Amino acid sequence: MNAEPILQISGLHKAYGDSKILRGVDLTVQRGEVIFLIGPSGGGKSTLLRCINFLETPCAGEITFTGERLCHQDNQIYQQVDESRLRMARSKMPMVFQQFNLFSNRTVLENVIEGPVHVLRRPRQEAIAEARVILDKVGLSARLDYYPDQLSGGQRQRVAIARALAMKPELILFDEPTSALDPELVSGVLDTIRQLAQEGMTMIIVTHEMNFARKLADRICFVADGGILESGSPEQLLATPARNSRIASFIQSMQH
Amino acid sequence: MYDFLFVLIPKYFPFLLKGAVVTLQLSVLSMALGILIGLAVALGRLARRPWLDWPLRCYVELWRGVPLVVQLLVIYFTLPQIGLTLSGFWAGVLGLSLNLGAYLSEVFRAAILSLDKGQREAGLSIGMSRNKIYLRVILPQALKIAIPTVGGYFISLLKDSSLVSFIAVNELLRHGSIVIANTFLSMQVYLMVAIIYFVLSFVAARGVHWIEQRLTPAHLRTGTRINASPISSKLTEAKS
Repeated sequence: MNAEPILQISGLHKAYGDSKILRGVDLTVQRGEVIFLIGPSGGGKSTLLRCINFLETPCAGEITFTGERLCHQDNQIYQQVDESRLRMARSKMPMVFQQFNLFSNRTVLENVIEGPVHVLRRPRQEAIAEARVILDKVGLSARLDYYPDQLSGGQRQRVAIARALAMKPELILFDEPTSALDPELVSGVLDTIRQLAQEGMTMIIVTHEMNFARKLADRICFVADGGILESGSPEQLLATPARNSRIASFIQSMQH
Repeated sequence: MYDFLFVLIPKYFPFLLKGAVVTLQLSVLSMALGILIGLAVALGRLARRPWLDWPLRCYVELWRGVPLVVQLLVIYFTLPQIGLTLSGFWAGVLGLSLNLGAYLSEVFRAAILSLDKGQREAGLSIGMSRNKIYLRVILPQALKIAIPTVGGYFISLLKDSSLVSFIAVNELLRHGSIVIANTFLSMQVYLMVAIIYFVLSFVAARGVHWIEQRLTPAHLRTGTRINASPISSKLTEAKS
């Protein structure tokens, strides 16, 4: 196994005007790790995730992904790689959104092959063949020609996961993937994520599903006040009476 | 009545139709150019470059703030003084398309802005370039949203093009005026002119509707929703 971490973040800062959302986040992710980011709303979880994918431009800090330094500080000045290298990196760490964000003018199959054909420049027929396999895996092989607005929320989210998988990603970022779903549709999406974890996919997942995090996480990071206040295995962080009173009260509040 | 149907119509209708052909040519050309101008201006303004934004904004405000007939007269009579002489027809096309472009740019801009930014972000997050996202995801949807409004502008244009008769273009209204000048049959001839305009507009309106339907995925088309296509039956099965 390669010892080099897949993602290394240090001193990541992000502010909008005067409000500082991230205040120096450090995080290292090993290949195959499943990391959950939990914590109160407004604590910076989603912003951290969006900075990793550069949907938000960090203000300062260093991010190294699969050995490539995407941004760093040069004499106190923030520098990042050019757009085309950024796009290459992004295609290897796609994101799954709370609101699914499927391309509504494209069918399920077209949503999934869009990236492979138009970003990775794969031949269309190959991309279609692979997309069929992936869509079969997420249980949507009967919906290839449907448009997103013909699907339930759970199905849409599984298409979004398939779209991410079609990029043959090194890492998948999940931003509250089940928060917009009706309760009865949540389990299908969680099953899909569980299956990916078993296959060794590296994932960073922002969620409020504490039980899910407890069962699946290699590591849970408690994010609040713009930083990772504590991190550890689910047992360390959740099971034992938490050392940190903030975490204890957060977990308490999640159990209601 | 007998006179109108069997004497006047056979005698003058062909001449009026020739004018109608020019009206159509003017309208179609101006529409095509107007759409290009409108799209370019909308995209330019959405690029968020101040040096690009403010001249485009001036263009939109100016052209929407001056009556079309004045714009046409200015183009036809003023441009020759700076050495650019256009025939009445091309002056008309230029005037109509610049005027239309100003209005359509706002239509396109609003349509693009009405799409949520989520799809844009999804495209970015899988490594698509901004241009590709626009071309493959945003514009197809925005154009679909804009089509009914753009179609409405086309129907207005068919009629507004009659203003081009002010700069001596031999389109439908002017052909009517020529006939009237020779025959003094103003009521009958204007009636014929009105009928032709109405038919043109009516056909155009049906055409716009047809295009709208064609661009809508089958399951969302009005009127076809009830008859159970394979897709809609599968859908109810999936939802149940």
